Amino acid sequence: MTSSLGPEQVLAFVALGLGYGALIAGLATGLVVTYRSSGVINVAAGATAALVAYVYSELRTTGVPFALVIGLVVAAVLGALQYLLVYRPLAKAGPLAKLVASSGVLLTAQAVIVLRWGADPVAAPAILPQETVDLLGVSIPQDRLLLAGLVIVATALLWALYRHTRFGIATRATADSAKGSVLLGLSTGRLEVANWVIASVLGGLFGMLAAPTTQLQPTTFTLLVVPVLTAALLGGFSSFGVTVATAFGLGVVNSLIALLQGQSWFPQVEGTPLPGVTELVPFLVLAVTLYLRGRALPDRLTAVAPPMPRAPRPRRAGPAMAVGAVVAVAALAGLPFDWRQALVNSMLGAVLCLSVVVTTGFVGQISFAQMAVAGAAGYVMATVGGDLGLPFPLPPLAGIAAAVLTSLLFSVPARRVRGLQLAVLTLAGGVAAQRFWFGNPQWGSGLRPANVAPITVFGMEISPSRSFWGTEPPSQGFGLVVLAALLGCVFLVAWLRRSDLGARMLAVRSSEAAAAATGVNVGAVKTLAFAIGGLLAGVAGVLYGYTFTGVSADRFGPLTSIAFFGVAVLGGVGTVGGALVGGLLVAQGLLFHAVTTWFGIPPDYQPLFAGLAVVLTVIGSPDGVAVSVADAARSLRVRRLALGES
Amino acid sequence: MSLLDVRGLTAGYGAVPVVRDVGLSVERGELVALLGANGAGKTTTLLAISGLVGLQAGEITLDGRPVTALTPARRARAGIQHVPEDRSLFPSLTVDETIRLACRTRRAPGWVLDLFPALERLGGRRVAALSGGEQQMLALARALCRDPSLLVVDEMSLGLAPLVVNAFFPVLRRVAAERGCGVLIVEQHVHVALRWVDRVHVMAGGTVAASGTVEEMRPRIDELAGAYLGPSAYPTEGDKP
Ligand SMILES: Nc1ncnc2c1ncn2[C@@H]1O[C@H](COP(=O)(O)OP(=O)(O)O)[C@@H](O)[C@H]1O
Ligand SMILES: [Mg+2]
Repeated sequence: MTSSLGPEQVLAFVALGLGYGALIAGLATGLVVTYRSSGVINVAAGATAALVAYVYSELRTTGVPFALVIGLVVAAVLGALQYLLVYRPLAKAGPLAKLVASSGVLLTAQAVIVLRWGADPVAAPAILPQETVDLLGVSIPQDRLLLAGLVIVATALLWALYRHTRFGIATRATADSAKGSVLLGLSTGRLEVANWVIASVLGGLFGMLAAPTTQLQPTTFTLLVVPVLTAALLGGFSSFGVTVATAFGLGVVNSLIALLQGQSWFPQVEGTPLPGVTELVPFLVLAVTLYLRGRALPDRLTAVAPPMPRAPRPRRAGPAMAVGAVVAVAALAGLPFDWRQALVNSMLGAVLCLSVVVTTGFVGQISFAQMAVAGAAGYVMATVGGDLGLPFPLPPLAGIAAAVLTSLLFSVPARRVRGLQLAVLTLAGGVAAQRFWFGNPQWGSGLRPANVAPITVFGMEISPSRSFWGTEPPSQGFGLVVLAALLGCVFLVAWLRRSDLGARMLAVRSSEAAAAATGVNVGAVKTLAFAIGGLLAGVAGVLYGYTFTGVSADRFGPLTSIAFFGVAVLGGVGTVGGALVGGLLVAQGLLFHAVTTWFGIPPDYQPLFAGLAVVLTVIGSPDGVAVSVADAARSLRVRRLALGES
Repeated sequence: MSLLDVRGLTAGYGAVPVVRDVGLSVERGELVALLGANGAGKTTTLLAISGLVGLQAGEITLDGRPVTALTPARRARAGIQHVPEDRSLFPSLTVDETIRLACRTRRAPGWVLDLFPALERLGGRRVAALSGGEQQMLALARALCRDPSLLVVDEMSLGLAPLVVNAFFPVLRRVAAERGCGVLIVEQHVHVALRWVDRVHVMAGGTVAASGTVEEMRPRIDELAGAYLGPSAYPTEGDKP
């Protein structure tokens, strides 16, 4: 499939890109609106817009105008509900809590879409006229131009609204000083609801308008949030103009890449153009711009201001580990195969959560690329063991080394980019890694899984299915390997928390400036934290590879990263115990298995419950379940002591 | 019936109250000062009146109507305007925008412009670029634009030159006299306050230790200063009448 590359083609593809750019722009201006009014980086914007577009497409038989109006109503309700149910209770919470809540909303919306409409693409009827217009001798679909025009008009209206109306002035005033607004007698709650409704309606409207021009498919739409965040971030979450311009730029570049991919000279893999380039571009744009601009961005975006979850020192770690190990060994020996598999999955999840504990809990760096780091380990292990045919233990060691390197790669921008910006950057990085590396037949495995050879020591194979202790997968012997790895990781993190380095990490987390002032080398501490976090994620990635006897791109995607991050926060991102609780909660883990087998809840509902659980936990117990339980136990003890004394 | 009546007010930031059993009142058209050493609980008392600090016990009435159950925003709409210690201005807005937000009209009402003629001159300036005195003026103007029945000002003279402070007191007197507004201020400089106000409440250790008219209090000022107000209450050179 090749096409020529003349000025007509370029013009046509630029016009096509305007349509995509308009969708990004519509969502991104909404992001600016909610960020300014509530301090929330709404990563769920793509998912909720998708939900609106699905409702619209569902109602297509009732006629376009009716469907459009109902879609707008749904968008307004979604916006108001998000604020009232999620962000109002979190008004005094830190940006991390709000970001996690927003990830929970994303997971929830995504789960609702998949439950109701499935994961396959759905058709949406066109709203805008479908005729083409002739522009300089090139025929161009009219709807793309109309979309672009509508976005520009909408943005101009928004700009005027915030610049010149009393509502707009009140919104800006409240962003400056909520206390000042309240003392003046303004209803800040009503202002915020209105802003959420505006943002949601804007996103929903352009979601519905653009749905016919792109694919209405849950993951695609949800991940639109990456270019959307890129545009909003480059606009400093404040400038509508820069945001919209960046959005159009990304749309056009995206479209031009599609044009280049049609050229005969474009690198081909297995007969198709090299995939993943379109995902790589926003990531590179973001990485380079953020790195160059560094500290010049608004403080609110760079600071992961307290309150962060607490990170109490582990108490009685040794005995607890011994008891845990004994219980786990007994469980591996005694549990039937399905429970054993759930236990193995939980242990794997706990290792991954431990890596979040180090990077986020200890140093306060939010990374949404943990699965990409794990995937790096899995894929390098598969290559070293498969293509190169090197013997055990070289493949897993190479895999873990690759994970550390990948994580260190993310730590380079982390030295200059902090907080929410880093979260956005790692999210973009996660998408790029999945599409350009794992899902790319050139370097990864394309759509197929890559095989992973089982562990072989002294001629004995320890794989989930064939091993020295039982043949029913997962074998107990393999379970012991996972348990040993988990214990090693627990030991490492517990030691880290008690060490000098751990103290310095917490110092960096609470204030980089203060830490630097007391002589802590902030850059070095962050780099070490990313290395250790990468090591842990790498161990998890390697174990995943062994568990499924292969690696595939869909396991290491950004949405899985977000889900894991949410689960880690659910458990408690500040402690080893939190990571273990997180392990219990992961998809296909012990709790999941218990709920599905005992209560007969279909497994399809797990993502929905996970999403809701993340949101509810953030609201109810921002330190995570583990710390809350420990607190409750402690206060119970204190009360008993007090009663005993009286 | 007083304009503001506070009885048995107990409030604080956690479970432990910072102020206990505070009683005070402000009449219409009256200028009242709340005096006390640092940490005596003056700011906390004002925050409890405007609703930013929760009440643990007690009763607050405005014009005879209890306001205790109202949110801070509703109290503001009921006629209580509070200029807090940090002034809580909107730095990214212009002076005009601030006034428009407060007044619902594009210009401040004539009587506010009469009190603060400089407002017109500052119109398009960003609040962040104003001097300390200009910011305090804007904070007062913003509150007055709401035409409050009670104006509460915390540490009006904090960080301002004595000359600037001396300009604000006549304004408050006029507001009280011409608008019938009750004014409650917290003032560190006791001798300055005594020159301008009608009545004082002296706070110490989280409660009101003495109350009275200026005539009653003036002879006792040295005794009160020694007992409650601490060294900052003694006049400095600039404050001497
Ligand atoms: N946000 C707060 N949290 C806890 N305690 C506070 C807070 N603000 C003030 N306090 C305490 O309350 C007491 C009274 O403070 P404040 O009302 O500010 O006194 P004043 O305004 O008279 O100087 C002080 O002991 C102070 O430490
Ligand atoms: Mg004070």
